[in-house]
Amino acid sequence: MSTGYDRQRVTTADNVGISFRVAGLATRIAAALFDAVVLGCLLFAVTVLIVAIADAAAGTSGGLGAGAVFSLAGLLIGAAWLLVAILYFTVSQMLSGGRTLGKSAMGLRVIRVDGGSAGLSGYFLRSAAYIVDLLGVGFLLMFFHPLSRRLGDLLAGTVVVRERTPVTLVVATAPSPVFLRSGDAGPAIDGLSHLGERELAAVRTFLSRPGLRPDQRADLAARLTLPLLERMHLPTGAPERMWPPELFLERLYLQLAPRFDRGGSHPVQHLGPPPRWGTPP
Amino acid sequence: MSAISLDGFTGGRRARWAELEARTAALSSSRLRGLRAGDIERFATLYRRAASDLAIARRDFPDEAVTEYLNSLCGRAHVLLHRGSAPRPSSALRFFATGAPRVFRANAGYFLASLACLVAGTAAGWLAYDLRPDLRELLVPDSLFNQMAQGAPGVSVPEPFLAAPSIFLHNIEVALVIFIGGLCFGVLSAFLIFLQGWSLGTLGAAVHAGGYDYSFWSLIAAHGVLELSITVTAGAAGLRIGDALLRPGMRSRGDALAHAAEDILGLALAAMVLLVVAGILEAFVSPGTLPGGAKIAIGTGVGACFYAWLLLAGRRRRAIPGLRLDATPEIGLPAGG
Repeated sequence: MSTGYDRQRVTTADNVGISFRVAGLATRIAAALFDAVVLGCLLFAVTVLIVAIADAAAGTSGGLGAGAVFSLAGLLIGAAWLLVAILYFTVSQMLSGGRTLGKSAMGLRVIRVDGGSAGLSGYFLRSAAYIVDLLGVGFLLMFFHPLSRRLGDLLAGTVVVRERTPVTLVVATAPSPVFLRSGDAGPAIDGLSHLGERELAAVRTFLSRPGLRPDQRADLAARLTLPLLERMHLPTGAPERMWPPELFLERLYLQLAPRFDRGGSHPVQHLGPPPRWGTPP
Repeated sequence: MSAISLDGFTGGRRARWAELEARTAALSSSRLRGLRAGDIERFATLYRRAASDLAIARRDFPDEAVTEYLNSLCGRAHVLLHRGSAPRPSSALRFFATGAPRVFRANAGYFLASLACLVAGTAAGWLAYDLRPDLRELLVPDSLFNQMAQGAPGVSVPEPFLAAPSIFLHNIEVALVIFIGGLCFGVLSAFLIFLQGWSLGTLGAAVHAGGYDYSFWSLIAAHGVLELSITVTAGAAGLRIGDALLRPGMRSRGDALAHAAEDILGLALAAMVLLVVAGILEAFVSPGTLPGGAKIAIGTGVGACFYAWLLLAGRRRRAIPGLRLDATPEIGLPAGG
């Protein structure tokens, strides 16, 4: 099940291990850039508002007072930028359970290292720590940290994980396709009653493996056929023992599957018979 | 061990997983609190059964897609279920009344260290002004010094309603940077506190040289006591964070940092909220026409209230010494354990 991502393993209260896929540096930066665009628009609006207010105030006080008003406005803009930025990150994560707009876009979420959600203080600390992280510390730390945590993550005890699952329910529960060469069930096989669901599963697993070389497939088939023949208690001269193993397994599957499959039948893909099988007896 | 085929495993459980997935998606942007009790119970039940399915899948089908799917599904549901308690106004008030002062007293050493940085900065600034007359122009901003030297009451504030938010937002910004600066092993916090002291020291020396001591100190007294105290408190919080990085003790450095931040954040925030009071004083009282003595009295009174809150609020009545649970010494891990 290794997908190449670093993982944060969490053990739940029911003692079940859940592993979260940790978001890497590049994805995190992409999400941050997305947020920077949104935040830039917000800061622009705030600046315009403050300048408009200062303009009006300077108009009423006039003269020497105007200079003081504008230096105050400069002070206000500096502080407002920082506080609006922190508020943006904190509030957006609070409202969505750990996802800023950029993180939503990239399918990321902030969680505590124990798998819970971080909460107000956690989101605030992460956001405030941008002051130091953006000096460059954060990038270096994320590059080397096994869970890609920046200072804000360490401070808040959080980690950023990927939420988009590579596997949907439909894919996860879809019956795997079975590759058949002939698709012909052939004559009835004796001794099918000795076989159960496990044998069927073994045959199906063999038949649904794509990408086997012909010699590998023939070899595997031969090794799987022997114990099956034994379990079926077929007599020494039984015709089934003469069939090529791959053909035997296909016919066995086609006759055995209808006995056990409830509803979820596996789709069949026909590969066409290989020439060296010849005509089966 | 019952032999379950993958199809048998998924077949009966598919519908439950689909329901949990739908509920998770609906919940992930809203809050659990808005749900009816029955819905929450259903969600929790579905989650627990999916978690148990995950455990089975890990054992029987470790390499199948269904295991990865269940892992992802349980992860998303787990985050939703394990949320800390949401912040409530009443708990914030209670923290203000008792929690923050307790945290302050528990970290008094850091406050003293931060105060020492401020005093050192002030002394250094004062000395620098006295020892290097050639650098005076650089040390003290020209305009302010001139205004002082001319006997004007410092910065004139034409629009107190604009000035108050400008001042307190700026001070909150400074306090926040001082606090977060603790992440640089406390060095940035200490340095910024030192700088605050430095500018106070150079200004003090300059007005002393000009003979305007009383007008200067009465100008800054009304807001300055509270403002500097809060700055020093923010510095103390920063130093605590830096100390957690430098001396993590038995914890890993990351754990120690997270623990210190969780502990000290409330105090830092409570102090920063009080900067609003200091900003209002600075905009409305300090530049006003009140006599200097009244301003000094206001500053002293506000400072006394601040320290009374920090030192006295939330003290517990002393229990019988033998019965105090919190006095039990921590049990150390065996060596090498």
